[in-house]
Amino acid sequence: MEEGQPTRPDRPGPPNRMSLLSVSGVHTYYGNIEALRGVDLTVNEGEIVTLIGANGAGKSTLLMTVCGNPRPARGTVRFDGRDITRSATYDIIRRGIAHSPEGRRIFPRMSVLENLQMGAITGDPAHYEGDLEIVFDMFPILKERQSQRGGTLSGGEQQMLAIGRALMARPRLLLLDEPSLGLAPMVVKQIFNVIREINEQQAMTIFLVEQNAFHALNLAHRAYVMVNGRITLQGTGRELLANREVRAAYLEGGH
Amino acid sequence: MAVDTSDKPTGIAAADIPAMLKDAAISALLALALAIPLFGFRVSSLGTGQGFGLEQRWDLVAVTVAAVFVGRLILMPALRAVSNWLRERRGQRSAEATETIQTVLRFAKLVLLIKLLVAAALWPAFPWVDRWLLDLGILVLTYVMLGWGLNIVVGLAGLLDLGYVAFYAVGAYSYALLAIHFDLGFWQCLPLAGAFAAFFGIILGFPVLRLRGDYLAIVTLGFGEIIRVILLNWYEVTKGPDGISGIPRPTFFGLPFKRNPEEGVTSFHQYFDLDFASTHRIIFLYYVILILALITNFFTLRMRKLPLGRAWEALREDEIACRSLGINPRNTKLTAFAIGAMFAGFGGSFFATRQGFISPESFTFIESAIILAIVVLGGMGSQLGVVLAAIFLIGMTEFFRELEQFRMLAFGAGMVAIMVWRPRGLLAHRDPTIRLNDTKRGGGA
Repeated sequence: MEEGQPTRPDRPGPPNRMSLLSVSGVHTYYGNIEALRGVDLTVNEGEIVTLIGANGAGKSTLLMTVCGNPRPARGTVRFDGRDITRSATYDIIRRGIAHSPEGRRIFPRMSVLENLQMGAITGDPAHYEGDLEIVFDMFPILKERQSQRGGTLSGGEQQMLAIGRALMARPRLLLLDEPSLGLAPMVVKQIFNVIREINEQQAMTIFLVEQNAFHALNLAHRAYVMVNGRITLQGTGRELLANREVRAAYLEGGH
Repeated sequence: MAVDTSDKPTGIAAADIPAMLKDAAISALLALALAIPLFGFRVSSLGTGQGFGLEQRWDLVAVTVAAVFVGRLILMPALRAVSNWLRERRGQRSAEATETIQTVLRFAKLVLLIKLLVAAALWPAFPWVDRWLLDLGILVLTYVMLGWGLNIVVGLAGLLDLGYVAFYAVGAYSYALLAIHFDLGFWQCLPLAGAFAAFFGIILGFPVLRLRGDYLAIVTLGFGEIIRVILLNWYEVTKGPDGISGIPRPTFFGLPFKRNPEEGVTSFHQYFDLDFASTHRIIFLYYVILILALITNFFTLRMRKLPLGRAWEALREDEIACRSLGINPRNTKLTAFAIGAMFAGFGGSFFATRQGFISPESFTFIESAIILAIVVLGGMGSQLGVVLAAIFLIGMTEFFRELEQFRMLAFGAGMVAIMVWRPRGLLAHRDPTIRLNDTKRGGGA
């Protein structure tokens, strides 16, 4: 579609595409605590969708529920038209969802190259070299540091590695959990630029969970706001950026 | 004051003196506290029938305290000079030099590897190797093999297993029972024993799938004890504490190692037209365990490059990340347990055929502890480290046999020494399993 265009806040998402991920009426519990209280949400093919909300709102829980760990008590999760609510995590991942978990979680004692290779572990080895090339083009620093241990990278580099590792699995849907966590503002900017690039160049569908509402809303085609395990607001990124409640709760003061 | 001293590596600055005096005084005080109860008093006889008196030896205490004070005062600058010298030398290793040092280390490791391999292959042929050293070689190699097997579980998959000896026992008893009741030979029993042990590995694996670290260690410890207690009490099958004797010795492709074989059976020495010597069998056993150990090693090295082996290592690093990469943690853990157990089963069969007699006594917790110590001291996940640690621990305890009751003290001291000097094991460096070669590295960077 209009993918090459310069992007302004109101990014016209690729319209009328099929929904790739749809979450409906999902309730998830941790013991007796109801972390998700009936969440409905869709991510269409080719879109960047973001979910913003405060600490403890249930954002990460939603991503993890999509991955089947924990499983929802009620409701359904559908990916690419198939019901994956009851599938095992590894099965869900192999269907084409890559999850870059909160806190990056790279393998500290493995080299950068090995970390990337771990991303491709369930995939077809035939694509490995080409995908590696793509990731190294996107993150030249990783190519430079390829034989260094993952644990010795800086926070930003680790985040790049985590995204690169997720991409090595050739997903159809990329789930990113707080990629800006604990990074310097300059680095955050860089990471968000890369996320946009991945979306535009590879037509990757991205579902992004963020606390950094300003950057996330600027980037996303559509966005949801989560409060206490419920979706309270939704709209295009620009709509939510202009929304008074959103401004008051997530934007003012911070930026 | 303290800042000053670090700038002046050698020589004693005047500012140092109060600090040194203080340090020496503290040492002297410690010496005083120790000296009074240790030799401040002595019970002395007052002559026959007079009973005993308490002799006070303050002079000795005073001399000791003074000696410690002066000694510490002299020793401190010397120690500081040495540590400064070491620090300086370390500082000279600049960033560029690290690369060369790495290469040199890798090369040194390779040389050591080749030397060890050649020594292991020629061990029985060395002129000074007598029966005792040959047996010691077999013992060390058995532990090397067990260490390599456990290294899969602990070193690669990161699952702390304190009951590894259980699988060793399963292998030994499988061989003994199969050989006696079904008249199977060593080579037929070996894969069966391995399969049985692997099966038990899976049995242990299932309930502990969700456990990690300390909790896993406790359950595996319990499992090891359960197996031992079963062996001890299931008298009808295992003969309990009496053990199983008369386990068939291995044959050289059907040729037994006997001076006077039964009618119609050719013995090894007859077939090769040699004089009978009991060492033939020992040498053969030595090579059997050497080959079994090498198989274990090559298998592990190969596994590390395959997706399953990678998954083991990744699981050790971060289980949550593994899940989000589509790795099935259940199967990954179970295979680690099963394969680790299989090699223990092979080792157990070998143990049974070498000893000719097994009893639950041989499979106590201390065996698990020694094998685990070998893995940990060697540097978790390091294959060469396991070899060095096995030679060090097993060899040392055998060499110090004359020390009798102090032998275990030496064992403990050795372990403490390794942990002090090499806190992450003898060879803690982990080599990446893949590298891009230089032609690929050139493009685009």
